[in-house]
Amino acid sequence: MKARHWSTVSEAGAVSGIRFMFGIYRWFGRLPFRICLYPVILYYFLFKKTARDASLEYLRHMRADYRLRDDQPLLLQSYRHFMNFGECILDKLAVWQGDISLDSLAFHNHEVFDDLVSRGQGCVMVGSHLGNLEICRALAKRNVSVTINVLMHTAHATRFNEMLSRANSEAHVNVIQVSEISPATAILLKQKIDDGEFLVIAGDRTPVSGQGNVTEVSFLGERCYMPQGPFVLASILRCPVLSIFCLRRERGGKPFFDLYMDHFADRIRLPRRDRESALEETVQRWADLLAGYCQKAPLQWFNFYSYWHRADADPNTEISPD
Amino acid sequence: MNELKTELKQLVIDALDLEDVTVDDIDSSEPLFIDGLGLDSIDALELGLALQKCYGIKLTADSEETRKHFASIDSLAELVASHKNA
Repeated sequence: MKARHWSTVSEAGAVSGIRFMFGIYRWFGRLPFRICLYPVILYYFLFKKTARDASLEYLRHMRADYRLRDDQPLLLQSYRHFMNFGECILDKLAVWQGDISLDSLAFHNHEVFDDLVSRGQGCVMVGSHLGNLEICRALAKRNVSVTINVLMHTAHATRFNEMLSRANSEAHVNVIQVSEISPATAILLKQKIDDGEFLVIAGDRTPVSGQGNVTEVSFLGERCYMPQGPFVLASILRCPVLSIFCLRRERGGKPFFDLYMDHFADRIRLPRRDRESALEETVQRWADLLAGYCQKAPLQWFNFYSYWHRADADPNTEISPD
Repeated sequence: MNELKTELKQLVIDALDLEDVTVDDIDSSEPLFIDGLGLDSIDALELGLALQKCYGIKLTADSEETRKHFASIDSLAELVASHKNA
């Protein structure tokens, strides 16, 4: 069976189900929500084979790379992986509703970020679908003076965003939808960097357009493709690059988030003569960083599609939508 | 117009950091991308930014249109000239 590109797989929790669940959360709170969440997640776990296979594939890689304990049955871990996804969706809605505040967030090594803000220097922040970046976006909206723009791959997440904007009218602000980085987009984004704004872009999903723009790297012990986009963008914008991760844990029965920002590069240089090798080196360094954070929060990897399948295939032929 | 074309050739050379290429090496009608000068998609982004910086040209999101403008020095010159007259 041909593996599907992530953009053709609808987000594992269908929107109608989530809307119902969110109603429960809003009226009755988190505990009743959780009681309802278990069977819902069980349903998806049992009947969404693509997502379950992807989860198992990821967990096996984590184990093989010694980043995940293997003293639990794999299926149980996978089910907990799904549960984490359910909680993640609730957290997204809860934070926009104002139920998660800055008190529930610890900002680690924030000096790099503070320094950029005080200098008015814009930057590219490379994020991922590990953890929950929505938490940062929502909290930043209310608490940080700097403008943060999130670059999203096209219409895929639109339905979910519609729900978010119903929960909070500000939720839609500063989401820039891009399917590919064109010269026109580059000009728009350059302006934002020049104005000292921050651009957040995911570094773990390959482009929808499938025009190449991927680099083969080793990730959790096996070769796969990762996008070049964030790094190409940073190179032409001539700005610093940070990585950003927002990982969840429980503290006193409530969600608590650890926000990590690491300095990745002052500038990305892709000299014409060895552009490919410079890209390879950069994207590999990102993949290694991502793997390190996967180890911190193994079950918060929210890419429920086959991640490694294109390692030996031509990226251009496999990405066409089903 | 010829002056503008020379200017644009120099802009391409500077913006894209083309070593060992001089203005005289670039034929105004030859393709800039892939064949001809052999530029790639990253160069296209750099070129877009350079055009914006030097001439204030904002490209539209239409990639087909951009491709036409970026085809050669001749087509770039037309774009810049029409922008100046506008």
